[in-house]
Parts: sequence; structure tokens; C-alpha cells
Amino acid sequence: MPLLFRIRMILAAAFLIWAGLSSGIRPMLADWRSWAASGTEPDLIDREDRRYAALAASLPTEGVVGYLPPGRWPAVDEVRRFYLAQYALTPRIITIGTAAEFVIVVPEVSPDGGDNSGATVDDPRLAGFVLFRHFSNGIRVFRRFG
Amino acid sequence: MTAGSTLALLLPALAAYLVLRQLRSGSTAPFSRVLAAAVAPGLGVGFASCAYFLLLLLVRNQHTAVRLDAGLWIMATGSLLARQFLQSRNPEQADDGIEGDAGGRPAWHPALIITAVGVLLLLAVAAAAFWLHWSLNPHGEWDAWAIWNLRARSLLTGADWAAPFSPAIAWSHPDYPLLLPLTVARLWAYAGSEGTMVPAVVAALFSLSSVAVVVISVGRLRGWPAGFLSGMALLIARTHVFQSSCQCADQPIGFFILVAIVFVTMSRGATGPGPSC
Repeated sequence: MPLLFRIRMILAAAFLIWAGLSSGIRPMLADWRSWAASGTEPDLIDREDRRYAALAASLPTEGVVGYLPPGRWPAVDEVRRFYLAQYALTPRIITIGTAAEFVIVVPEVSPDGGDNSGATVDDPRLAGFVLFRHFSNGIRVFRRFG
Repeated sequence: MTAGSTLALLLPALAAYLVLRQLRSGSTAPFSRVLAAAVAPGLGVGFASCAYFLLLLLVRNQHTAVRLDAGLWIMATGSLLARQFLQSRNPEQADDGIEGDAGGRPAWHPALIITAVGVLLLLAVAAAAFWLHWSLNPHGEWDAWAIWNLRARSLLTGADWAAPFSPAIAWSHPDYPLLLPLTVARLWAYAGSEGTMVPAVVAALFSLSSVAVVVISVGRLRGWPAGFLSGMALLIARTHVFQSSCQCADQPIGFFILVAIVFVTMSRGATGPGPSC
């Protein structure tokens, strides 16, 4: 291999090592700081998985389940929380609205009334539904009656 | 990763390796060992997900499909190993150990050592970045859990495996290819749980295989220093490492496009292309 070719190879390697380290180290350090700050806290998806774990046991194992989000979540957060509910409750199909027999109502909705099984609530979106289960973490499941 | 899911990953990879090694091009040159080893894990994952899909279609039951899948890959790998063993005893068909390429064994010189050390250094940085990002996001980025791992979960837990293709969840792109969800669902089924390690290992496998394929294929065609430089050029791209730890499908599809390009390039260089077993 000619000497000039080897020198070019070494220079190219030096440049690529410099470029690789300068592009890779900074985001890695940022991740390191976030990781150190997060400690042993479970990530958002694990938290939502646990949040829906008890609920999953009391819903039908398959089929469509409604989901009622609050009106005041930021749009991105609302979409993410809804997708996370789908991820936690799969293989059920989760749809926004009250067309299904069962509807999940997250604590942030807080409709008036409906604290006991069989009770109705004042929220017009839940007309025709009664409380099916109320979980300790605030999530409620309503079921269509009639 | 349990022993079961590790075997579920290794058996198809070994089968793909043996098939590649037993292929002969028209020039009778055997497929390079190192390139076969780099390509085989990804191809094995691809073949295994196709077979698993067909088994699910056939039996419509996750547990039966897993048992049949295990039997299939044990038999396939066993028969390929037996064939390899018989060929090695037959001097006419035995592999003479020559790689059949111009690359051969590299002669160590400073340029080669520096480029090899460079690629190892950047690989170490990429591995650390991958691990940190995975520790922060064990379920992957948004698309990973909202599309790919969601579909894998549905395939694993649903009695009706076709449920995740419902148009009611069109936002999760039910029309997207099933390679990744089927691979993750299959490995989860072998593991018996939905551990976050499985999608991460699949992502790392495709990412690492892509780097290896670039290094080896360019190394064989243009010499090992050029191969190592090409690997470094791939590893300096921050997006390559980020997309790996995202657990999305970008890395797998990139791997298969890369392998297709490498195979086409190899066929153009062969003296008598046209594989025959």
C-alpha cells in the first residue's frame, strides 16, 4: 500500500474519530444527566401500565372500549395519554367517545356524581351510562344501560 | 432476555448462516464467512418472522404457534448442520477455507490499526449512548410503543391476532409491515413475558449488523482500512445511534436495503453469477 494512501487513511480516520466523538459525546452526557436525575423512578409508560393494570382485569378481554379525555389537557399530552391507554389495554381497541358499551373516564374528567356502582353522572356525554367500577387511583369505568 | 428467547434469536440466525455458507455462486466461490455472520442475524429474524406469521395464520393460537416454531427451527438448523457435517467429510465438496474474495486476511499496518481502533472506539461510544437512551426510554420512543410494540403486544396477548389491524386504530398504522412486531411478539412469546429488553436487543442487532455489513462488504471490495472508515462514517451519524435506541423500524428496513445493495454489488463482481446449492 503506497505511503501517501496510508497517510490519507490515517488522516481520514482521525477526522472521523473527532467527528464521531464531538457528535456523540454531548447528547450522551445529556442523557446521562437525565438518567442520573430520574433515579429509580419508573418511566411514563410503566406508570401508565400500572395505572391501567387493575382496570384491565375488569374490562372485557377484547373488543372496543370508549375513552373520555378531559377537555383541559394540552393537545399533545391528550394524544399521548390516549395512545398510552391503548398501549396499556391492548388487545382491546380504545376509541375516543362514548359509542362503546364500556367507557373509561380518567380522573381528570371528574364528572359530578357517579361515586357508587350503578350511579349516573351529570356529564351530558355520559347520559345513558352508569358507573361500573371506580378504582382507587381515580379511574372510573361506565357501562351503557338499557 | 431468557434462554428461550435467546435461542429463538440464535437458531434462525444459525440456519441463515448455514444456508448462506452452502450457497455457491456460478464461480463456485463459497459465501464469505464474515459477511455471512454479519448478514445472518438480520436474515434469520426476517425468515423467522415470516414463518411465525404463517404459523399464526395456520393455527390461530399463540402457544401452538410457538411450539411449532421451535420445532421448525430446531429441525431446520439440525438438518443444515448435518448437511454441513456430511459435506465436510466429503473432500470434493468440502470448503477449502478460502473466502473466495480479494479481501482475505488483512496485513496489519498503521493505517489498518488506526482505522480498526477508530471503529471500535466509535462503537463503544454508540453502545454507551444506546444503553443510556434505552435506560431513559425502555419502551422506546413514541413510534416504537404507539406503533411497533403496540402491535407486538396485540399479537402476543390477543386471542384474535387480527384485532390489531382494526381500522378503529388507524392512527397506529395497521398497514405497516409486520417484520418488527412479529419478531418482538415471537421473542416475547418464547420469553413468557413482555420484557423491554427484547425490542432493545432486536434494535441493537439490526444496528450492529448494519455496521458490520458496511465494514465487511467495503473491506472485501476496497480493502480493510476503507471498510473500517466506512463503518466509522456510519457511526458518526448521531441519527444512526438515536434511531437504534428508538426501537423503530428505520434500522431494520435500512439493514435490508443495505444487504440488497451488497448482494447486487457482489453479484456484479462474480465471474459466473447464479446461485445454486
